Amino acid sequence: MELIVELGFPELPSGTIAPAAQELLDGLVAAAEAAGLLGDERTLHVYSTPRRLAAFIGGLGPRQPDRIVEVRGPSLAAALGTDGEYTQAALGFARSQGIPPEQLERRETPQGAYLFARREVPGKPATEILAAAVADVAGSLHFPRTMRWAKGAPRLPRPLGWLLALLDGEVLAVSIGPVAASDVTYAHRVLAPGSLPVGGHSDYPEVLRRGFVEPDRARRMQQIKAGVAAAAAAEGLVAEMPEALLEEVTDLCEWPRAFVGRFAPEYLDVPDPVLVATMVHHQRFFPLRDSEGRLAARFAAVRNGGEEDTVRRGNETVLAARLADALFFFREDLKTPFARRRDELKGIVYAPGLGSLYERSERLEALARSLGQAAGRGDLAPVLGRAAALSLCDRATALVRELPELEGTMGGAYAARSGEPAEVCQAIASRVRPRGGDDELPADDAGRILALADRLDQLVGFLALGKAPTGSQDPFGLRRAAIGALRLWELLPDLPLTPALADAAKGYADLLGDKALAAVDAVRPFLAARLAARAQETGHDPRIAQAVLASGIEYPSDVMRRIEALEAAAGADVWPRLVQAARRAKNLASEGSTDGAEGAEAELLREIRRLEAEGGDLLARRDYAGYLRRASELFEPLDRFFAAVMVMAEDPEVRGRRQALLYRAHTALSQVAEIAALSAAD
Amino acid sequence: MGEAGWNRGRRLPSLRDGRRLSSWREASELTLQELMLALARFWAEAGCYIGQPYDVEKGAGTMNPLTFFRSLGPEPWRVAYVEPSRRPADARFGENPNRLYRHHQYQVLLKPCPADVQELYLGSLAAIGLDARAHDVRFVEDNWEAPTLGAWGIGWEVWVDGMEITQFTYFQQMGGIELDVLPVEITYGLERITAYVQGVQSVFDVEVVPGLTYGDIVRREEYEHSAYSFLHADVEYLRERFRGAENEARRAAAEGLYFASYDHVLHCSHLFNLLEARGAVAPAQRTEYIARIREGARRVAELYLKDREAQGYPLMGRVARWS
Repeated sequence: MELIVELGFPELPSGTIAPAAQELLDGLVAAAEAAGLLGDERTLHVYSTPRRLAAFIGGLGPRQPDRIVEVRGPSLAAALGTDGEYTQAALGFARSQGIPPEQLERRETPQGAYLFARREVPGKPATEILAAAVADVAGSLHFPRTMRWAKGAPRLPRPLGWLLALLDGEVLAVSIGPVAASDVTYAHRVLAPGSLPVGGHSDYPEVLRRGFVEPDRARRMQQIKAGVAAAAAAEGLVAEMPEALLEEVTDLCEWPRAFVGRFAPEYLDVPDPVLVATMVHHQRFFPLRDSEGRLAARFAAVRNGGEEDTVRRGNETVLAARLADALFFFREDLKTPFARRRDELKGIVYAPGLGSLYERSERLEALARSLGQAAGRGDLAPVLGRAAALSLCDRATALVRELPELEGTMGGAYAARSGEPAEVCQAIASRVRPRGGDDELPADDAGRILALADRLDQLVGFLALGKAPTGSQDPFGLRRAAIGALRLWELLPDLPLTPALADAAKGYADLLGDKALAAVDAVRPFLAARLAARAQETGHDPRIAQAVLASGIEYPSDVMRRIEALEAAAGADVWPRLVQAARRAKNLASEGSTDGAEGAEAELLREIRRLEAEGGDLLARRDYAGYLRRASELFEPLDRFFAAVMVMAEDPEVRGRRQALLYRAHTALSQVAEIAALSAAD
Repeated sequence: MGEAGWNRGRRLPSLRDGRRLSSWREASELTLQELMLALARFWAEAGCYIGQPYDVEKGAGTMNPLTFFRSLGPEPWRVAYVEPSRRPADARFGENPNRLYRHHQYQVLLKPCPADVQELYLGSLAAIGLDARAHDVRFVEDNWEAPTLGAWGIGWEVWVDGMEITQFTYFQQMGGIELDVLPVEITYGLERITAYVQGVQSVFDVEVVPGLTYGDIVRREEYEHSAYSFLHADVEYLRERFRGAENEARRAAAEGLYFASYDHVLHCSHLFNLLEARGAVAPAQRTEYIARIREGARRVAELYLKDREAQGYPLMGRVARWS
């Protein structure tokens, strides 16, 4: 049998549509499978538009199979009276199971003898099961924001408008709130007003297409892509189609038709990022470029009905108004030399308790310079200092107040117009990158260092105030900042963590005092947690990752390499010896002096020193696999040591010396990871 | 309105001219005045009582007692009115083509929300010359929130050919109280819509009646209120008045006078907006100010509900008679 279900709504929020439609299908499939209505022979389809979520399941059985149900009743002791007749307890049990007492069975179980009722339960018809499933699944779909819309109805993102639910053409007996299922759908609100009857799945998509609705989301997206590309090509141009915009536009229309509009060429004076942001973010337009990649004074857009000329004229008017605003702001902004904006930052609060943006720019100036020094790029100090000092100035400009997503980008552009050196402008623009998980990293070293300074200042400041994220709540974007910092660190492999955090904390000394220093201890595990999460996301063994993180993250960019080296070692034949050596050493290790080592002690000390020296070179070359191999060679000397001496000697001095030797051995063995925490079987 | 008036030679639009709104061709060049009249006629036909602006300064039509109080409780309600809305932070000295210290909203409240509310709304667009068959009308998610009123809702901004012209909201909470009967609010930005309908780039060029532009009427006023809000308002005086109004709101509420109390809550709200535009509210204080105003709104909302209950909800079942 074939089931088609469609939930009709007034326009749903664009980002929620596709996942909700999938959830509808998955939920119905799960219910059908649980009832034994659905085997391997099946056809599934999911449909979605701004006004509908729909699912189709083909290959359903007409009835749930009959089942044998067994229920355990009272124990035999309780079920039989002294006369050997059934007691009230037994009779009651039979009644509750709907069978005569003589059909009760007696059976031995590990807990003793019990009465059992065995009965055949006839399967329910598919109509009944699926009607219930439709109500259940529709009422439990997940949306980020829902509303109350009718008394007693489940919360939904918008009031439910209609419910189409047909099993082989028959309407299922189901209601959601005040809306009862029927056999009609509604197509395009304006192009095909009124209800349309649906016979079953076979004509569902066609009925909608005749009503100017393309219900298949992938097809709709393809139509938009092809339509926009063709409209652009007709002008001799190429459309820029960011994935996120394409997705959003797909979820904002049911019957997409692409067209090209124009704007006055004078607006091309506005910097490209402003034009793109205005078109993409504010109007959902696709920017068009010529064969050289230059922006054209044209855009492509998608309409969902209306007359093309009218719609084009309207959209052109709206874009012109926005661009006029942007051009006005841009020209106003240029009237003030960019560097002079810095004073205006004194009036803008960075965050309550963390001072003004001006103070922040001072912190960034000092921090960027010292990070540059620590990363071996002392030569960048003048660029870093100047870029950091100016890096927040665009926050005081009208254009960035209007289009906050252009922070950084506009800073670089305004700095360039004020005659700042190119490297300074580049670094100012780079500071905001990466904006998100997949955003590009800065290409310039100064920009990378400044961007890292920005994130460390943010992390230390907010964690000092105790604003660590909780659960899914991260109002200050600290997780994103930490992930950004770690990605930037990949490009700064020689920069150690401890001095970087100390420098970041130093910037807050006046403002936060000891709290800033204490925050350093909060930032470290916060970063480690992000590294652990990333290791897990990329499919690494969490125990291996933990062992690596336990031995420190002083060079954060090395963590992944250490994890990979350890995983390789764990599969090799040196592994058991390595783990055993580390565990035995750790067991009795205690920090102290190794002075006066003799005999087996002296031999072990010699071997540890050799490992430290040779291993040091390997570590410096970041050859962690090589180090682990080399470290496993300490197994034999350790073994001889344990055979020759008793560590826990009576004499405290001897005992201390031997424990100190083991401490030193364990330290040498744990350079890549806390190996003793693992087992030989890993 | 004789030959000497602003409307000389011009026929006022009437629904009677064509029952089928969408085929109303001459509507496409409406003046601002005609547009207001057309909306009033449309919503009167749809069963609304055509209310009046409330004579206390406020930031949005939602704050008119005709919406704020009547959204609460089980009684049905249908109202439509123009509301002058003061937003000091949006003031631009009469120079920005789209931003105003005071703009005008056309505000509609339907409670309970009719099932065909979107179609009804499209009909109202047709009545002002925006036939949905010619234009591309979209409902784009935009949830509304007014923290000072303790109010929020789920809804859309409505785009016509890419232009945002209406805020459309299913209220969920008002005065901090969850709403059991679903009200829907439709708020048109009158200056912007008219500029769009007339094809002019600046709201100041909008024709109010033939021969008179919006700029002719309001430009100096816009300039003065901008200058006052941003540069000259006496911060201490505003703070003093805020405290006074807050206190008076509390006193009136203690006497059970919720309408009287609410006037002072509205004063607080506007004074807060002025203080903010004047740059006199630090971010940390902002939350506190908002909480103080919300407290006033919550107090009168509760008093209103109690009073309506005591009266036995006199409007239950009576809205149908208006249409």
